[in-house]
Amino acid sequence: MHIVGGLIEMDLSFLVVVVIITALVFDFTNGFHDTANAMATSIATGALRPKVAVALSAVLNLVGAFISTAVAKTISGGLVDDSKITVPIIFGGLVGAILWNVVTWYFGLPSSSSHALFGGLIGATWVAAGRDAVNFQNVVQKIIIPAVAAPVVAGGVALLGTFLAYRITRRARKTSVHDGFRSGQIASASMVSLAHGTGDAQKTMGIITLVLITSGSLAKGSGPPVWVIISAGLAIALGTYFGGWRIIRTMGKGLTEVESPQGFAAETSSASVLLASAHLGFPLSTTQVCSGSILGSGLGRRRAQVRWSVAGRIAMGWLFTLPAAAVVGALSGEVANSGNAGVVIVAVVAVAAAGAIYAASRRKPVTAENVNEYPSRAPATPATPATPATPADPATPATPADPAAAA
Amino acid sequence: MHINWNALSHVALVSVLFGAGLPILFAFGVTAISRRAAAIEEKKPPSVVDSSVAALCFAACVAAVLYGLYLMIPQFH
Repeated sequence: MHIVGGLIEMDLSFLVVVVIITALVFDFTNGFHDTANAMATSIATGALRPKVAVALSAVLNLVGAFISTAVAKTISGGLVDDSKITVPIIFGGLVGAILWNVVTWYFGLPSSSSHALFGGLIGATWVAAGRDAVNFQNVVQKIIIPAVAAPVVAGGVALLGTFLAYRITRRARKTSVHDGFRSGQIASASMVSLAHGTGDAQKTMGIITLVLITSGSLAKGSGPPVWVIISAGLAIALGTYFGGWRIIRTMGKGLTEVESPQGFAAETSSASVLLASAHLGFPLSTTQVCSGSILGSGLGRRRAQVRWSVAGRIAMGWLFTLPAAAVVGALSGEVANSGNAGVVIVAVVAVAAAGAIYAASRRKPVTAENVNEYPSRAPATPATPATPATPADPATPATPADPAAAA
Repeated sequence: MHINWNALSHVALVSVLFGAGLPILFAFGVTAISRRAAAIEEKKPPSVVDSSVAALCFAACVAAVLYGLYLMIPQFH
């Protein structure tokens, strides 16, 4: 196959072409999974209309992809022995990550796309090259500790910011406060989006570049070719514009009821933690930072109620990200390793699985129109003894527990 | 298990400084704006103090955004 990129013309094998496409699909899922991080609270408070929010976020992700092309030099960052990574392993890892992203999207759960990718790679490497090829100490160091630290730091900062913002403005007019913070949210959300764009599209660029190097199409140590930068930037921007409305609803409405001062505090917390962590040598995952910030902003406002059941479900999702993606990654990598037929089988099964989940999601779709309607179910906190279970109250139409829409 | 407490505490400190500092500044700015709006509604001239506090607070927020952009855009380094 023949792909023209800038001045370089390369002949790529079937496998390499499939892996590049898979990497771009992963990038797309990365985009729609993470729209919520920057835009959920702005959409929830009405600072930006849903479609405008995702469009702005998409543009900023695209811009971010172009201004920062310092891609990773290794695929796994030392989580697995990079010399043992082969193209089928990368393929398996990507498939594991994509399927996990689609499953968590279906349940409306924010989860880290990088963790899903690392999980997939770990699983695929483990099966292909043995347990010794996985550096478990680095897994603890680079994934587990940051995953615990991120929500704690970001949540604490957002809690403090929210509390003080409400305290300072308590005598000011409600409309001035809400309108003021709503305008501020446009800037703070944009900063989170741009920070995301300068970091996440690079993951895919790095993977594609390293696949090209591994397959001998690029010289060792090359940067990403122009067509890689453009396609990765477009894939993540398209994914962002597609909008992971299910996740946006969970983060903007499900975790807690967000007002504009909270949204602003959550977003400035996220942007600050992300920038500080990137520049002070303690990288933290965007999703965990942003979820922590929103939770913190819920705790910081006195009358806000945090739905701990939703927070618990999100935490469970994080717990399963690595192992679940690893199992799928291991299976896919193993089958793909058997040759082109195996690669085709994995691709077909993965597309069918993702298609089935998408079809299931259409039964209770979450769209730009209904994203701000969180299904009112039984209150998250245990009902007070004062409210006995009243059978069929005509005033409040009973909402049957709907796992698809609410979970 | 080794936790790089030094880096983590640095991150936390800088995050608190900016992540909580900006909402504080913005809140003061918004409060000043609210007082100005109230004065104008009562047909009184808005106080210079309120106007300057609002301007200063929002200018500081803009400066923080520019600093963030500087950090994010490698071409500036």
